[in-house]
Amino acid sequence: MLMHHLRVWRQFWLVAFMRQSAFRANFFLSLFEGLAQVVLVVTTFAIIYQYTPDIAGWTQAQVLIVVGLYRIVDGIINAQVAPNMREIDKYVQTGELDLLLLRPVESQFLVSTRLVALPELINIPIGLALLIYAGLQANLAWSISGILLALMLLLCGTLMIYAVWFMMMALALWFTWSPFESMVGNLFSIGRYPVDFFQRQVRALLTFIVPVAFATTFPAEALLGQLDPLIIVIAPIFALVLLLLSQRFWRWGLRSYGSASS
Amino acid sequence: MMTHVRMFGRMVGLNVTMTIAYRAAFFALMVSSVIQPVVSLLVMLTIESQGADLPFDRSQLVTYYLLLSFVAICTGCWVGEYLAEGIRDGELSNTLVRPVPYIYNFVTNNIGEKIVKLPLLLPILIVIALLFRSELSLPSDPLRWIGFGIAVVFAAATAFLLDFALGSLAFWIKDVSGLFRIKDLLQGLLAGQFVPLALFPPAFAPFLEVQPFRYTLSFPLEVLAGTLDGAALVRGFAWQIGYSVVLWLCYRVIWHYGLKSYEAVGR
Amino acid sequence: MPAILVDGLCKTYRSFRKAPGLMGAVRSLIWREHVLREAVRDISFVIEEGEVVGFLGPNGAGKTTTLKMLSGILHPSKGRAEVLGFTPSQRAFAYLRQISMVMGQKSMLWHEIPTYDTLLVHKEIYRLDDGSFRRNLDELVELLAVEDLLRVPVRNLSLGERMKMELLAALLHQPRVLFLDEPTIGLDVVSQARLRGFLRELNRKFGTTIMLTSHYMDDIQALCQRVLLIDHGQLRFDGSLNELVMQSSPYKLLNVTFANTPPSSQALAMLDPRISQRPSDDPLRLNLAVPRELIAETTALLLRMGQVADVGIEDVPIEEVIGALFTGQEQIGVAA
Repeated sequence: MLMHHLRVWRQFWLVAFMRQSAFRANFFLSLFEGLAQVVLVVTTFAIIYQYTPDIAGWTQAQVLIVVGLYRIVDGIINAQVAPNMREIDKYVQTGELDLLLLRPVESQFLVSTRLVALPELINIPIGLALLIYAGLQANLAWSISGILLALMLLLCGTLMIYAVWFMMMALALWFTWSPFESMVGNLFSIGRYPVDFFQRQVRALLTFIVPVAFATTFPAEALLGQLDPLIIVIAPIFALVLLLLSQRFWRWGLRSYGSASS
Repeated sequence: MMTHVRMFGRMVGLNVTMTIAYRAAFFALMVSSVIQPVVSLLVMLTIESQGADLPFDRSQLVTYYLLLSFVAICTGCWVGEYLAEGIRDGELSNTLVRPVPYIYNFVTNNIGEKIVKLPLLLPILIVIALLFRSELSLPSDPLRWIGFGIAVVFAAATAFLLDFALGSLAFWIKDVSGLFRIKDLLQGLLAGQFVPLALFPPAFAPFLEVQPFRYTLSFPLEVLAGTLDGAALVRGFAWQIGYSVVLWLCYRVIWHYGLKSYEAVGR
Repeated sequence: MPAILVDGLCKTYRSFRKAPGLMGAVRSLIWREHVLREAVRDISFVIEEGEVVGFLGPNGAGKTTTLKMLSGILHPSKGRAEVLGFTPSQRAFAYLRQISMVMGQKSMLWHEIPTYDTLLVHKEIYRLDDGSFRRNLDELVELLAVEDLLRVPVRNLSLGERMKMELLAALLHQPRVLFLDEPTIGLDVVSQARLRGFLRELNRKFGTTIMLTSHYMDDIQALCQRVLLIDHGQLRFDGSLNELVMQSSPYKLLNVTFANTPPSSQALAMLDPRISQRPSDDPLRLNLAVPRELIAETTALLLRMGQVADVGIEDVPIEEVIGALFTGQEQIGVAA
């Protein structure tokens, strides 16, 4: 069952490779976009940090670790998650969902994996470079356990973002569109700030409702050796809960899916 | 002349009607548009409460970012890439035969959408204002509000013409999307979208004053905030109006030669 | 076990009504009117394995809705559907692997890449091993005669070629039941005929049960031993096409061409009142719709009325029968 789905997924990546050759220019656009984002955020922080040595305990170099992690997560999300999420309401509107529902594969898996925007993966090396640079600036003690922990949290965080985004888009099953469609990008981009920058209520929001904290702030804390050990337990459990929730939500939505053309 | 005005009004009305059909989606878009300013505001307030010596006090910060959303919607522009697409795929040919200047389509679409968007944005801004009511104190001087209004109109014109002129380059350049990415980056840095231009290191001030992006977003807010002295105010308006005129001339020149080459190719 | 069993199937859609214009848009901000639409009402039928059944009905009659319920896309509001022993709406993978659906207006192919690469995705989705993939592919490629199109990016194919590729993709896993929704829409006459030939061959060779909807009566006539007629969500007829014509049109068309002068109107008034005259573009030609039982006697009568050059007796054209059925006319011959 799992193997079957993994093989289908691999095939989608192969298709993405073949389709990519039709849009070579996209690679350079993605490269530029990724670099531009880095320039924008780094400059913004450079300006702000003129006025303060730290923000909520985060030095400039430490914040750039978060920014680097955000680039990596953004690369994964933009390559594998976003292209699919952006289509879900369109599948409903055009009735293409009908065709996807006919396949003997989990429909949630199918609508979540079939499109891959390969050029966006360029953000991962960009983020990694920034992360290493910022880590050196912050005198980071690179420990294997810290890195593995950060990786685990980043993975959990990415899965959480996927699950939440997916549920937001699944609203289209009822309403043929999702009010969150234009919002998610802006919401998840808050991940480039450490959540400590915000007031308590906002921090809770960014941890449990729009769970960007798990994808960037917590991995950065893991690298810095400042992570609350409780998070190590919470992260995988919460990721699993959100994934199961998204599955339930999708199945519930499919029951009331009326299909665009009758 | 009168027929043009009537036609223009008609087209705006048509665009309003078309936009209203998507009001729910536009409302969501408006909510989305305030996320970034509110987030920036929260970060700035955190810094301020740590005792950082910012050139803005709390109430000025709240006012700045609250109205930033408003000005951003007023001056928001996205015509360039559509225009470029129209030029490339030959859609322009269909509209050239009509007795309406091509730019009207885009201007009226832009205005029509704003007529729908602004009332949708208003309740959202009121909610945010209520959340920050203890720190919000809007200026009471009517002159400043009038200056703000004028600056917003010219900011919208500048932003629109800049976008339109850039999109018009599609007459010669096959793929203009790279240009727009560069513009987005500069806009993000130099228009005051994330941090007010007043927070930049003082050495940058002369450069910040003469670059066009300031006049698409930051300048109206500066007028309202009252951070500019009389001379700076006059200079600012002069630059803003100057940019509008120059960009309009650019548009005329580009289209004069662009159409010639377009017709020569015969798409 | 029948291939398809449908018992008292119903589907009701809920939607919102929107008033037109600016005011309507503003008003619907505050208040939205709820509309229930019964797309399918209490339909029952049984289809045996290997049958080819045509599904007829005007737009919005409920054909596509029924097909979507049978393929598991939509949940029925009421009633029971069973296909190959499965309940479609449960969408068991074992079920989905045995069926396929082609919708004329929707594509399941990636446009930028050759069909063959899409088929590789289908190979994984349907868990075909290398052997059966090769075998099925070779068979279909031969039947469809598309050997040299397999490696061409789909966007470079013509509409007819693209439809063939859609079918190829839909049939790669050798479904036992095939649902076709307007498979020939937009195709030219030659491609339509080829497609029909292919579907007939598919049914003959593999015993595939086929259920299809089409606007083109030619499709139905060429392929279906049996038709289901559905209108306003209700099943109006279930039987062979000939029976449908006999039952809904008790008339035949009698065309008589006279050599010099046609009979006078007084003479014609002597004919049975159940006979009606249809328009004719030739003054010497008389077109009549005649009840079947009166054909012989009317022909004899007319032959005596003047010098007859030619006589023709035909069934009412099938499109006309169906068209009249859908517009709610009872007596087809007369109305025309």
